[in-house]
Amino acid sequence: MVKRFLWWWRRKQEALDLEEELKAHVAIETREQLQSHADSEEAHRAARKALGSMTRITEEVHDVWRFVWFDDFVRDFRFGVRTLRRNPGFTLVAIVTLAIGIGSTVAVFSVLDAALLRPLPYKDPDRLVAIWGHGIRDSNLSKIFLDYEDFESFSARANTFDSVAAATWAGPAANHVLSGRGTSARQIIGIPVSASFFPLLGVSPALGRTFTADDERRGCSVVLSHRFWSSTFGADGNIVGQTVTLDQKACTVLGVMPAKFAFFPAKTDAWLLLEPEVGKFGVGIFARLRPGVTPSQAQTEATRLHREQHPAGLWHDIAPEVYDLHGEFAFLASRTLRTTLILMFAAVLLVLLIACLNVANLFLARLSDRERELAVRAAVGSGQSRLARQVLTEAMLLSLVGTIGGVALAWAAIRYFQITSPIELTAGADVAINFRVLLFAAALSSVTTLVFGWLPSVRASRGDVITRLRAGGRGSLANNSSAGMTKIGIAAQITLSFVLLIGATLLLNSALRMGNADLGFDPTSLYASSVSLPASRYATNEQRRRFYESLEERLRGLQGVAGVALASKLPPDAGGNQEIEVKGQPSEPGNRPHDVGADAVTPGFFSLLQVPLIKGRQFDSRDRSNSELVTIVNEALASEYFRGSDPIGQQIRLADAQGNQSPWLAVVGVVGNIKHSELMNEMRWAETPILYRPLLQEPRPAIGIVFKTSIAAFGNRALEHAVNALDVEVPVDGPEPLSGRIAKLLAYPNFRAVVLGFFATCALLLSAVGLYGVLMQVVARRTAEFGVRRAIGAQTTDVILLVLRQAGLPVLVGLFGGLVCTFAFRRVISNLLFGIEAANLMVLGPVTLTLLAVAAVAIALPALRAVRIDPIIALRQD
Amino acid sequence: MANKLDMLHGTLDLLILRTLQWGPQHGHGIGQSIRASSGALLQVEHGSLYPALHRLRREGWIESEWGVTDNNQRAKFYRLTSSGKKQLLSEESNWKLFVKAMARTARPQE
Repeated sequence: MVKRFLWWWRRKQEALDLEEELKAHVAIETREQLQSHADSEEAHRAARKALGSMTRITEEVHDVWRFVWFDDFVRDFRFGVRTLRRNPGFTLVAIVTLAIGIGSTVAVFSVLDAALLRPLPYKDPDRLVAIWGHGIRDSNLSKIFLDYEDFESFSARANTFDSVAAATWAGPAANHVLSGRGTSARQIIGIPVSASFFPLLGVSPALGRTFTADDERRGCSVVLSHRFWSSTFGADGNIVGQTVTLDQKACTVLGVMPAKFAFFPAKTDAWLLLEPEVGKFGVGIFARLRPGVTPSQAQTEATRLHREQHPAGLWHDIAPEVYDLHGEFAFLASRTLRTTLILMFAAVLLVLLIACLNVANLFLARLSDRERELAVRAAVGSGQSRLARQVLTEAMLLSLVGTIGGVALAWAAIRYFQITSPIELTAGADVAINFRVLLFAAALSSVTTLVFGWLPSVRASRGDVITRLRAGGRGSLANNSSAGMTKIGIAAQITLSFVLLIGATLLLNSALRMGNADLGFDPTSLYASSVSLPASRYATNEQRRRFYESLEERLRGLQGVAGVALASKLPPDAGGNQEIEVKGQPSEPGNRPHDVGADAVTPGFFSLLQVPLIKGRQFDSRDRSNSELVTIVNEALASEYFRGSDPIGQQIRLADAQGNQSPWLAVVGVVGNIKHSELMNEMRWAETPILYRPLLQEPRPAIGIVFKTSIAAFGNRALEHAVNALDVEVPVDGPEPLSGRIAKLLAYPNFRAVVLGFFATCALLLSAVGLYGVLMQVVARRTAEFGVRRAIGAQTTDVILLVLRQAGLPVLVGLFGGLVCTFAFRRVISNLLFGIEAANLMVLGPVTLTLLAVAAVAIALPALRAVRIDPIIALRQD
Repeated sequence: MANKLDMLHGTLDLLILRTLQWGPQHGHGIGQSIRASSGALLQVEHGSLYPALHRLRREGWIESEWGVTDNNQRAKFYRLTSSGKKQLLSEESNWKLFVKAMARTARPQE
């Protein structure tokens, strides 16, 4: 306001000043006119007449101050449009290049923004934390759930938290069976949460209400997710207060959450009230920091409360750790989400930089063609800044059109990403072109304008007009420092392309190696499915045993099924963190590693998956509930716990998280390792100790079915009918090919390989086009010179060498730079690699050759053009 | 059309700067000396000088100050700045070059 006033006031002063100046002029003129006019009145009139219209002068002076900038801009703009239209080839290449660079960057940014940058859609999200457990002595235990008692003690006694909530998806806690809706029973994901969960996040339901502390004393109640409400209940507006049957219990629907609400896991169908009984599997603790409390203060208090709660025992070895909730959402989606997106963004910025260098180089080359025009403009009084502005305006025009094209490209890429959703992102992350993304695109556009327009604009305005005019527009610019600039640009492009190509090759190699790795079993023609038995109907081991026996028999009888086995876990899911004790090997209870997984399988399991039996025997029909308790261990367990001695005939027993011990089990066989995924390190196939028990001796309530069939489209129906024939209340999932389950683990590595591969290809093509374009212009400009050389006897090879000299050195320097960068940055992506070293001759060699080959083509075409120059025609041109 | 105007601006600017190299002068005086030196060539209205003066002032080549003439008349005096002097030097060589360039362009094609 003040500024505005000052501006207005200064304006007013200027106007008064001018008026006075003009009056003074008239006064002086009048005095002179008096010599020829007798009358002073007449002299004054003549003076006024000589001056001309006072209003017009005032207006014109006004224009000098106000409109010149805008006026010049409009003129530059029009001129720019005309110039660009006169060079459609250059304009098209520049715009396409910029559109690719800007489009890719905007697309990657929109994913990065949605997954990592945008705050979580909860109230005051920066005060929300997640508290996980961390093994003090056993580093295998990282980011595990904590004890339910910790949740109770934090809620009751912590001063650093405003509120504390618990939620769990540990073990079977999240699997529930929805039945009694006219169709067969089906499995749903229902996350048990404490009553404080929704108030903690500060999100209100779309319908009804969320949990209150009172609900804990009432019967089962449930809050539905919007998606589940729409898909299963037809978005029934009267759903609140109705009853649904979950796990054979009647549960009241309390409310429906809004469509935008999401928490981990993203596929949650409903939320249930967490009971302490369910919490024994461990809970995730989420809390809101009191205003002004730092995470480290909360950490100190959480550690203290945890120690007081667990003076000894298993939980004593687990320390609570406070993390920022936002970061943990990314972690939960994928351990490599953050690295992947940051890597993608870095890669795409390199592509953009290459694109800018390209356009800058083309621009520079074209400016030297327009040198005479620029020199003449400078000669007739165009200020230096005006010339620079003219060039910048042209750059801005290109950038503007390129950005529009880029945003369109990004929109298409994002649509494709939304439809295929190749990787899992943070829960609730909504990838879209929104205001933030557009703002980013606008900023990007201005920055690119400066990057590729600045250098040419400086070149255009600088330099001695006389030499430039004298050179007659025949490339004096290109022969001096701008040629050096162009060469540096080419070298930089080659370096960046080299780095991107190396990165893409490494990631592609990793993805392929990981996909082709021998996992210790053969997934060919195998399909996986799962069933879980409702606890109310299958309370005893005997009931479950009977169900599994008849299920296996029934499935074996299905047409097209060549083999069936049941197992508590199906690949690539395996492993665990239990501890075992070997009879006769004394060890301190608190000192054992927590690295053993325990599974229950039917006798046919190993042969169906073609897992080799190394020693001893398979399970068979002898291993029944009342026979000796036996176990088969894998090689990893045998080598870790028996160290060379023969495990067959030895006795081992398991201890679970609560310190309960299983009976002693006799080892009867050793099988090969089945490799499996690992939670904390996604780029690894883990081989951890696993012991297997006969399913009949350990009838778990939820099991996986694996069967072999050569029928590619083996119907969902046949399986479901078979299970329903036994019990309609038992839900079936699947089937899906076992290889498909493995492929899901490869989603991130594959995505990285594809995206980086695309960027590297773009980089390579852009660099090649840039090199080609610059050389073509060099040849065109020096046509006369080449003509003279040919005329006085230069051979074909001489001409080729001349062109090669322009580009050869920058290409080699660029390659060398790429090698240096590869060695310097080889650690950056090491944890995204599988079975391959970053600085590796097997990768460096082919990449170097590829780049050289592409550069050779880009150099050869202009060189051939130079060779074909006819001296006579060339000389006649000037 | 726009180009011709540019050219005229360039010429007028040069004439003003040249006039001012002999010392500070007010608008009326500058107009008079230009008319005197270029004869009938430049038949400009007195007023058209002022936008040009302001344009040169915007570029920072000249600066202005109120003063008093010999006849005790208050008037605004203009003076070359150091960047204006440089500009004058380069404009003069540009001008000569321009004249040459024009001549060359006008030469019939061989």
